[in-house]
Amino acid sequence: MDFVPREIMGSPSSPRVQTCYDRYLAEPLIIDAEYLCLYTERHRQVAFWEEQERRAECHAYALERLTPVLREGELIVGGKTRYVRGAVPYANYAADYILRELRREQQESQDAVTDLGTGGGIARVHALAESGEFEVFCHKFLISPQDKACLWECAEYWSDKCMQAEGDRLWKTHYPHAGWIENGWRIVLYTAPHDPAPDGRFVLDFETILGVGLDGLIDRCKAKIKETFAQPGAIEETAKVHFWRAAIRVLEATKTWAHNYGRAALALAEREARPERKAELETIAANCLSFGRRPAGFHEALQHFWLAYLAGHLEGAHLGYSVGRFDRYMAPYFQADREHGGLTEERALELLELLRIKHTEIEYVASFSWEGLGSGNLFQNMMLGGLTEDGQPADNELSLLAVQAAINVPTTQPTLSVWWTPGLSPEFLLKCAEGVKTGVGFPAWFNTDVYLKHELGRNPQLGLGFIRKYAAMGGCTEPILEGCSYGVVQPGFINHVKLLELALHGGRDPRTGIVMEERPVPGDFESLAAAYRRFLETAIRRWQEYWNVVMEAHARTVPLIFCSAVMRDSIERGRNMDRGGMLNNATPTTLSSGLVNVVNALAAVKAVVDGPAAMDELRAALAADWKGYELLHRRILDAPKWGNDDDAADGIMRDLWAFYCAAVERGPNYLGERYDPSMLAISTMTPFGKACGATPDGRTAGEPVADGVTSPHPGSDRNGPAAVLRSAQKVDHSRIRGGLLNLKFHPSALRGVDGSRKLLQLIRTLFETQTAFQVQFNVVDSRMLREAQAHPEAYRDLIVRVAGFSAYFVELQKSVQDQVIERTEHVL
Amino acid sequence: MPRSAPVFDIQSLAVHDGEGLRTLVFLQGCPLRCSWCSNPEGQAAGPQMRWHAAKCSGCLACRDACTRGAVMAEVRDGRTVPAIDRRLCEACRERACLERCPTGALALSGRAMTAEALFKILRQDIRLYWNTGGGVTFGGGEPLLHPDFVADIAGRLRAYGVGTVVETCGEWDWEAAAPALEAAERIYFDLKTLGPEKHRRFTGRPNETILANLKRLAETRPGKMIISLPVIPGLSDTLEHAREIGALLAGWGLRRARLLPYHRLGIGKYETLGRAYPHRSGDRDVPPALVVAMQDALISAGLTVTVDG
Repeated sequence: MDFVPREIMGSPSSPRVQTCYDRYLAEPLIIDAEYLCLYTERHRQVAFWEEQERRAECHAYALERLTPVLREGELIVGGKTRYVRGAVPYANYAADYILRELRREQQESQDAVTDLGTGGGIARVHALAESGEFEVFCHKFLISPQDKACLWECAEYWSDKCMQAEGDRLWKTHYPHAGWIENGWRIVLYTAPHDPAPDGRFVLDFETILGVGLDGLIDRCKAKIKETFAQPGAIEETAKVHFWRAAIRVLEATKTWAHNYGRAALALAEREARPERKAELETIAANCLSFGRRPAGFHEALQHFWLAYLAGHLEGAHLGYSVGRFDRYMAPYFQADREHGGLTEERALELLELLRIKHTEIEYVASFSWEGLGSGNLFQNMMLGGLTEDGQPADNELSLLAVQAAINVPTTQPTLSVWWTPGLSPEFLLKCAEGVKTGVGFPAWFNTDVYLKHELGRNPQLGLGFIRKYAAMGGCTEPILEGCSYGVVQPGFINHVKLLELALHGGRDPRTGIVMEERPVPGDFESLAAAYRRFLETAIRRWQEYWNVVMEAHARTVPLIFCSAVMRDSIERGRNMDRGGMLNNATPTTLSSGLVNVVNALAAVKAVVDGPAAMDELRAALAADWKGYELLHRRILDAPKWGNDDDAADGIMRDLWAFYCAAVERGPNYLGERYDPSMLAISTMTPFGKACGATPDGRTAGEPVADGVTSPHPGSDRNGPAAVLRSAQKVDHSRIRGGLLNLKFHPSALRGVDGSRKLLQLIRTLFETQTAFQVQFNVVDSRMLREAQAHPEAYRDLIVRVAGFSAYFVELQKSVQDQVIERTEHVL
Repeated sequence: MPRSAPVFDIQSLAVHDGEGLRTLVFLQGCPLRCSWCSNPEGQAAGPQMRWHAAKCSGCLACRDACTRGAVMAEVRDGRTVPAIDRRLCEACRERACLERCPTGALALSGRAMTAEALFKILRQDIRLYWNTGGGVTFGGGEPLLHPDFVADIAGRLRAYGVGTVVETCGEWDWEAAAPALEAAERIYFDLKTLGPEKHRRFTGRPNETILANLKRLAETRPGKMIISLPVIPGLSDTLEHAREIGALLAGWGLRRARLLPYHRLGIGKYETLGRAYPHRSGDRDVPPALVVAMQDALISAGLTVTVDG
């Protein structure tokens, strides 16, 4: 088969990195119940402690006892589990899906519309399961018989104590519209309950963690307790004292856990015969044993960063938990070591490549439908470039190396993102363009000014300089402020296409027959648009109200103590992040996807339907999935569509965009601020599409909805990519937190440094209107993707950009693979 | 009477065929019939009916709609599909079949556009041209069959400081083409082979006019010229060819050229037009080493040469 290869293809910069990378690629995904078993063991003993101290004690107890595993060749050590690709089953968050899986019962109603990948490490799972030593868990993991027994016991213990159980008790009894939410799941108006992995979407305050160390934070907590008891009326402050005591417990245990790695490294060093490796192990030991104090060299700082990052990751069931502005907070250690410590560029690069592999080793397990939505991705985002506090471009030598490391070791994690701003250095910009040309889909490009406007509008008290400095990404495309933004931001997604179906059918879901709310059946464009808006408003309001109740359960059962303690300003305020400890509490978002399909549908109805009879005919055509109505289907497909710079469609998008934002912002969140509007896709386009019948935008029944936020529906962009960009510029992205536009280029289009320059010029043109927020590129030949579909074994390391994240192509479910292929390819 | 021309494709964000990011505008009609042509839908003067097998549901609504009896049913690869009598179809102006086709498998390629309408589209990307140093490139077909139209658009773009590039096969009347030659900031001039008989065999026409036009352009507008040299198996895939061309171009004072190695990317289009792929050496590839050697030969002759494709 003929295809144009990717222009840039990196390779690991040393044999050591190659070894670690190969080991990663060969490993299956395994469930590790060690943390959960320890956590549960302690919980049985302290179940009646104050909620924060109980949570801290269980987590600390487990941390102190986890088995430290070090692997051959590693220079940075520490893992979430004992396995290379291990996942922790957090039954303390949600036990039901685990029990159902163990009992081999049918999962949520959404499972019927979910599919998962089958290639790569997932294929390895199924091969190993046949050997009998392991069993398969949640379709793509292995689990040992011992872990299975322990997990089962724990899950039963948690079944009435986990966050989900506590939450269900609260909202199912207290919330008057509980029936709407439950029916909403049945008809796939909403994504499945998010309880198994609700945390994440934030970045720890690594600047402080590295700068003063955990020791410094522990001292601060002790001082705060002392101050509190020195004042009269201290008795009212007990909740705060509980938090500080909990924080001290967890911070100390985190040090112990880190030092355990150091001790394990020392033990290995003693037995090590090769002098070179012995020295390496001694360095590793020293780097781990100094955890808690400020690091000196770059290697040590990276080890401390990684341990702190991992400790935060272990505490909660995270998705979108991210790295933040790595090239800012690591720069002092990097620069100093480059200038005085003898750090070479080669060494720095090798370490960064090894770090990428560590990030990619983390796996997560959640309910089946959430696996499908996230395509197994953890959305760890590393943010580069951007501005300094005083508005200067912030990229540096480390930024370039971080991109180079991703070119050399194209792992899916962490996702690289760039805060684009016109002053970034030419070297950095060209290096980023090279990254795009590897075809891995990163870095993704984000328009700094659009986010500054958004955040400054919501949090003027923080000031422009502060926002510039800490602007980061918590997850794939959701900007947050590093080290000080509340994390649990959203309860999952609202399905716009389903709302349109409800509007069309007077509140009845055509797939299941469930009536959400009886309304008149619309007979023309105006009444349809009005009905859609009404359902949208209701769906938003109830989703927010429901989630506000669930989050009370989060605060009672699984408040994040470690993460809070290492973010601002929990210690100063004496509150964990669920109780208002963060500087920025305005982050909880309401998410949705599929708006583009609604825009196209309304535009088509406006153009084609001229009265109640025609509307009835349209409904009949939809019910028949267009069979027997081919000509009408053709006319609908030919009607104006989003992404063609056609105001007949783009005007509807602008109106609905503003309506959606206003509706979301009216709702109060559980921290006393307003909800923040956002739109994303991850992999919702497939299950959302499967649950919807044919729609008036010309979609056939079950077809995926549009990916991205402003990406056109596949195949509906008829006026070329420049028109797609012009349409994207027509909506004001500073209104929402997020945004996503996919463009696909053929490798031949961007060849050489001239091709890179053209790519950069294109980004500049898109962003200079100050309205568009994000753009990401896939640079692969679609024929190569088809070839990879047919022969996955030969394309194990082929990475593509899906929707706000990159993934190994062969591990994606077929429907998502198809959509990546179908996304209009710009052969230039 | 407004100026208009048949346009069969407009592609934005193109990175080839000129500086920066460009919009390519393809005009219909070509005096040559090159056997390797990758835009066969642009050869005839008028719009072309295209039929896409993959989209066709085999409903035969087109047969029932056709007022000329130009569509018959045939069985191909085990399914019933329309077979179009191209001669009858081309004489038709009603095209009732198009409206009745439910899947869009039948589509007309090429439509007359006024300069006004085309410019309205191009104008939207002026910011992009400004930022990237790009502009508009006319290709085809043979754009210089519509010289006033090209000159009109180029003049409008000029008012914004945006340049126009023309890609041409060189087979046109000098006096008629003059306005467009004048208005273009750059001309990509295709030179296939120097042998008149060989030229006729592969393109359907001898090359006297082409060479005369090239010589005259070399004398009057050498700075605008970049010579495109397709490397076609059986026609121009030899080192001697490169040497010969190099000597000629250098002798005429032309300094820039680009090699365009043969590709088959247009092969699928022939099927949609109901035509067989005419290039007989089409299964042969051009070895990359040969392209490099040809490039070296041209460089030795004193030319600046890139390889595009």
